[in-house]
Amino acid sequence: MLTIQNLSVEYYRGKQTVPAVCDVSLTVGDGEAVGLVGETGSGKSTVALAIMRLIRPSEGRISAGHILFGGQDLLALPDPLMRNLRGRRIAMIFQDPFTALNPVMRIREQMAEVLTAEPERDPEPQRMRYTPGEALSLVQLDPSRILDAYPHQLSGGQRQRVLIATAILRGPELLLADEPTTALDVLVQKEILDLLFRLQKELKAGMLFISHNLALVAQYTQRVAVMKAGAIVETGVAAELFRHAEHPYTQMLLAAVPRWRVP
Amino acid sequence: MEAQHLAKSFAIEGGLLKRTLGYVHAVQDVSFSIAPGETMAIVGGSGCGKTTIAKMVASLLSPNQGRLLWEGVPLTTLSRVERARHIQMIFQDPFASLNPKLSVGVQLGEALRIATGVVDVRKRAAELLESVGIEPDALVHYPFQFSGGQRQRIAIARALAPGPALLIADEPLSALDVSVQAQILDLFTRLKKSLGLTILFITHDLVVASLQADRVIVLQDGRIVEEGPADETLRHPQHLYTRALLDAVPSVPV
Amino acid sequence: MIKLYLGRFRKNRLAVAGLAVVAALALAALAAPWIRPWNPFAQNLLERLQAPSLAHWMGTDDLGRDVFSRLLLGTRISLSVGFVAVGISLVIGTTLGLCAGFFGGWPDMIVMRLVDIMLSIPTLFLILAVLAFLGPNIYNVMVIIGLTAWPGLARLVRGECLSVREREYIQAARLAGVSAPRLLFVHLLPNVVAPILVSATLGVGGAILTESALSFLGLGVQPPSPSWGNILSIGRDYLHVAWWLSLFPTVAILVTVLAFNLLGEGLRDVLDPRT
Repeated sequence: MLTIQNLSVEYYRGKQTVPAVCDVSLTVGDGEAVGLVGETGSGKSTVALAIMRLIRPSEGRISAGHILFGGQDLLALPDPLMRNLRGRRIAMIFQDPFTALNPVMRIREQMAEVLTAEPERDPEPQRMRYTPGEALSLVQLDPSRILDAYPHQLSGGQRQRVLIATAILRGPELLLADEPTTALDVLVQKEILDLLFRLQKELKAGMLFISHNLALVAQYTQRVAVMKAGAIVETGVAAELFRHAEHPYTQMLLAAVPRWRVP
Repeated sequence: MEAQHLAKSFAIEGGLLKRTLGYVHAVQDVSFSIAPGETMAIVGGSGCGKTTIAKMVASLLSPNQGRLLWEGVPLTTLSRVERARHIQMIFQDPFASLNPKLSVGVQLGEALRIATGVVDVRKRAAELLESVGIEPDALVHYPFQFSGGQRQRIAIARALAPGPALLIADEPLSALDVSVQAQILDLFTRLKKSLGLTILFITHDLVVASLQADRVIVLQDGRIVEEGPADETLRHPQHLYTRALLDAVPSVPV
Repeated sequence: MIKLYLGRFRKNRLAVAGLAVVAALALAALAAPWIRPWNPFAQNLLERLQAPSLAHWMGTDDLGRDVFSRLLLGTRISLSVGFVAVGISLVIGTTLGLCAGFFGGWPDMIVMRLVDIMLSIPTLFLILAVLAFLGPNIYNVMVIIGLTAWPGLARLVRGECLSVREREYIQAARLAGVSAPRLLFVHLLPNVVAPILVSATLGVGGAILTESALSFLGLGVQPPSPSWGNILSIGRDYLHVAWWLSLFPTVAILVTVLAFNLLGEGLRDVLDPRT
């Protein structure tokens, strides 16, 4: 459903350009969850931004490649059509639930914005959609309490649930999650990820899950791509990767996961 | 080091007149002691009060109740410099814990000058940097010129400068990349052995805690819910909360 | 570090332009006695209200004095008023702001109430009243502008101080046993110096404007000493017959204040990479 072909992205540093992503190819099948693992500066977030076409023209550009989504090349799509896709067929869940919500708007208003950003003519039929209340119930929040609340009245975990609810409002076909739980502690992280991947299965949506934690990615996704310095160094089935990782970098990432001393 | 019945609450202020609406009890009746050379971990989710305890032990916050004893003497009776020689702390975010406007040399040298009688400050500072795996020419550089992992090493060197007996490490890994985390953990293990450090390790990751520590305290809502040897706690967690913490840590299937 | 700042500054063309104008003005002020074509005090009633010509580049005033020479000397006065007044407000504002922000508690309470009181007094009327009482002269103008300009700065420094005080590197320095004065001046001050510098630069422009306004009203620099404000004040009486008398001091004020503002904004961008 999503096919990235030979994607390259570069950022501007003064008069020079710095490659951030080099020749990356990756596919996400219908309803498949794919993990993208890498450390700070590996270019993994840039891939997500490129899919959403959110790289600012003043900061960098996509220098090569195609991003095919449902048969269309997103990179060749006119801006208005791309805006139609964003939030409706492709939804993104950001890293920091403390800055991704507008502090002066009630949750109801923020969620309604996604619904009212209705295109004049809908080029594709709607699959399904939820009211904000239904979406909040799906992420196990009490709509009567949350809808009229302001972000500062919610905990980090609750905000991340609100962001997930907002992302699924339009019944997206593809979810992009960029380190959705790094700002949260382990207990909340588990709750949120369990919920996110359950919803992904129910929606039969594709998922690109981006994280620096290989163990976490392997726990939730079927296929994993490991990125280093802008390039994918290894791709494989999660369980296989653990048994015999080929690339030294993947082996190093694996070795860095704390193992229990007890069986 | 001994902590007796520590309690700390923060006032919630509200309205135009800043009236006190209520109190958040961050830490309630927590007691523990750390033996010399021991590593103790305090584990819990966010908001459980673990950082508040760390700050109280470091004298950055004063407890509402209870007291902290250093070899039987209340910490509050010690001078600023004496406390610096006994207890140092490493913070979570190495981007926030080094002063951006002062060179590494100034920050290390100052810690040395205040707490130790070292004559050749420059030489000692270079030695400290080497002991944490940083080139000595870093002394003339500024924090922005280093990566997160390097900064955390420099922060560790600064904390070691006064020659403390107790090192508090408040989530020293959570802001770092996975591969860097492993290196910093190794560094801790090495320093602990070579310097005979006593360490109070604060983390939300029970597995890391158990690998690093001799003893573990599990904290929930400001109270101790479980306490015991690290191996034992990991193998046979007694409390429900401890089990939940353990389950939540992503691990490699063995 | 300084190299980094210099590099960033050089890329900011408007700021470089601002700095160039400020430097040129400072140079002109210093060199005024040597480069002025005429004696700024020499009256020549036969040549009064002459339009700009090769002899008098900016014309002559109602007493036949050369406007260009008087503007040059006025540059000296305006710039010194700007710098001295800002210097005074910098010392008061920074000290009070640092104390309030760092110590908190009752020092903070006292300083902030003082700031509130100062900010609620209409400054220009206070200055006018004091000058009327003490007598208008250039030194009184400098001091009184300085004494009324600090509250904004104090509030700014206090705010920065409050946020920096809670940073972990300050806590780490405390743990290392650093004494309070060293903590304040070595660890804290360099981290709040950027906004202070920016605000001071903008303040120079403001002080020059205030001085011009006071001189225009006749309570600043007293004739026959020239200042941009009092040249403009004379110009008002001859607006219909001698446009040059109003135009050139206005341009001088405009360009100077603009240059200082550009420089200030540029410094803000250079010193604060967050924006």
